[in-house]
Amino acid sequence: MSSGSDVATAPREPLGDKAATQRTAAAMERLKAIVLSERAARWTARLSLILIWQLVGELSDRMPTPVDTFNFIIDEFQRPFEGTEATWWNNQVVQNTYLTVERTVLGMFWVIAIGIPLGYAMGTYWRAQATFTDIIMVGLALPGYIWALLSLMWFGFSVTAPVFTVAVSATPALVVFVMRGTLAIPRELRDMSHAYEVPFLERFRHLVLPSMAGAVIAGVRLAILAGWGLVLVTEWFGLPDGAGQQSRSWYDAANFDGLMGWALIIILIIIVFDRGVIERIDKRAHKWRGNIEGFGTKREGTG
Amino acid sequence: MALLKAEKVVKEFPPPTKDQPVVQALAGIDFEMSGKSFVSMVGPSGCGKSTFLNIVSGIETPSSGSIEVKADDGGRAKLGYVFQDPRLLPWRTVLDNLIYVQPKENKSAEYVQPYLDLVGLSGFEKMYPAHLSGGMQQRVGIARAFSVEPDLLLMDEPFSHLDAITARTMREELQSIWEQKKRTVLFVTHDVLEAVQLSDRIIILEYGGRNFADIPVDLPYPRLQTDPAVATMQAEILQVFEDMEARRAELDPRIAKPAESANTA
Repeated sequence: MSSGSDVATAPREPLGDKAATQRTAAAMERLKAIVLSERAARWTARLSLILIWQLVGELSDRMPTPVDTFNFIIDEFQRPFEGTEATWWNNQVVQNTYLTVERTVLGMFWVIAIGIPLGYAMGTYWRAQATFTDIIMVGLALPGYIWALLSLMWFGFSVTAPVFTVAVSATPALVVFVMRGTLAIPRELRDMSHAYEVPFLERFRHLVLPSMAGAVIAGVRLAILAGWGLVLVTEWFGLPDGAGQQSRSWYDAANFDGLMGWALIIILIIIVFDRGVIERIDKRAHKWRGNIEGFGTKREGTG
Repeated sequence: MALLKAEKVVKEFPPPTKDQPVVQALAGIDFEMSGKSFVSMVGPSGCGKSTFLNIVSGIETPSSGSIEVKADDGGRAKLGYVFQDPRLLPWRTVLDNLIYVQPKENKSAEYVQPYLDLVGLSGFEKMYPAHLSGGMQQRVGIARAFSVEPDLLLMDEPFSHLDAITARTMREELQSIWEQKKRTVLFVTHDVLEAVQLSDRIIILEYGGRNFADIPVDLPYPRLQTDPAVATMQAEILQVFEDMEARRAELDPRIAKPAESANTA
């Protein structure tokens, strides 16, 4: 009970209510941290996309809903690629995506084998830069689908066509990224290495590669995305199998579920690879940045 | 320890634009040092001190003249270089930064650890440079320089970017380490007081990259900047600088320029 001199003081809460208020406040803080976290932002975006997709699918007869698309994909897993019996390996989804992935990997082998050394040479030696700059520009300027058509004309319906397409289309981009990365190697660290007479291989391993890591990873990431798309285009135009060919056949049949289903499979594969492989390599290459402010790390309380 | 001999070393840089003369950083430096000695090279900004150090280290080549750096036994001298900024590999730990500059047979944590202990950085081996303060990074740079057991140690204003207290501590540590390790040290600074505190000889360069004075510093070690003898010596050297400025004013740079252009043509 308040005394006569405490007119302005609110009545005191009983002790049990104070603890409850504190627990409620703490719970609200935790909820706020979750709602405002990075994970919440990602999932909000994903769920929003699915909801918008569902809404458009309900309103349009040319756009399958997420449920229709998912059902189609399940059916594709149950449709055999060869023979009459589908297994976990012998089905349309696994076999066709395996072929597309295989062609992309083969193409990327050449992209990396040529792109990184050439980019480094162009960034290090003025003669290499003078010699190859125009060739790289031609490679960048010619659209990928033109390369896809040309390679089908030259190599027919073989695995060479998509591999060649990836190699000629994606290499120039990687070369440019690597060249820029080479030019950005800090001069003062090169001078320090020179003063201490550090051997070339040591310099390459501990100075050049880590310094270029960001540019190389960004270039490889872009090249993979471009290469994957180019393999799909090549398959669309002229190969008898692969994810691109499957998309084409469902498109030709005016089957929207099929086209959407294969589009989703194509998207999911690249997302899984990018998140599961490229992003991890990127994080490992830059772990030295740690939790220093300014390097895009999460702030406290954001999940 | 090492022998360093420079004879008429000239260094010119291409002009910034075509209609300007070449930039002459050094105009014929003559210099020799050897054995356990700590020599400071002092001069106004732009007189070519850092350029000279870069030539000695091989980062730059002289336009003319010769530089000879030999170990005591007559063989190739090993160099250690402490730069103005630490120049650490940011993506390598403190330990790996020291290992990076080692020859094959010394590339191990056990070998470089004592040098980190020497500069008071035990316990920081696994940290990355970004996690260290400027003073700590510079200590890593000093540890790196000593870890190669150099015959000649080059130091280019290593404490200029540090706060006064850290710089004072580092100077005292450097004196102590030099006494222990007995190296040949060429130390570049624009701070006369620092030069007097650390060196047994001070070379003064003037504008245009020329020798101006060569002054022995015969004071006992260890020295503190607050020692009266150090302050007296500093005043003497500052007088030398004033004489240099006076001579420069007499010569009038506008009249001196055609003669300099003729020399560089």
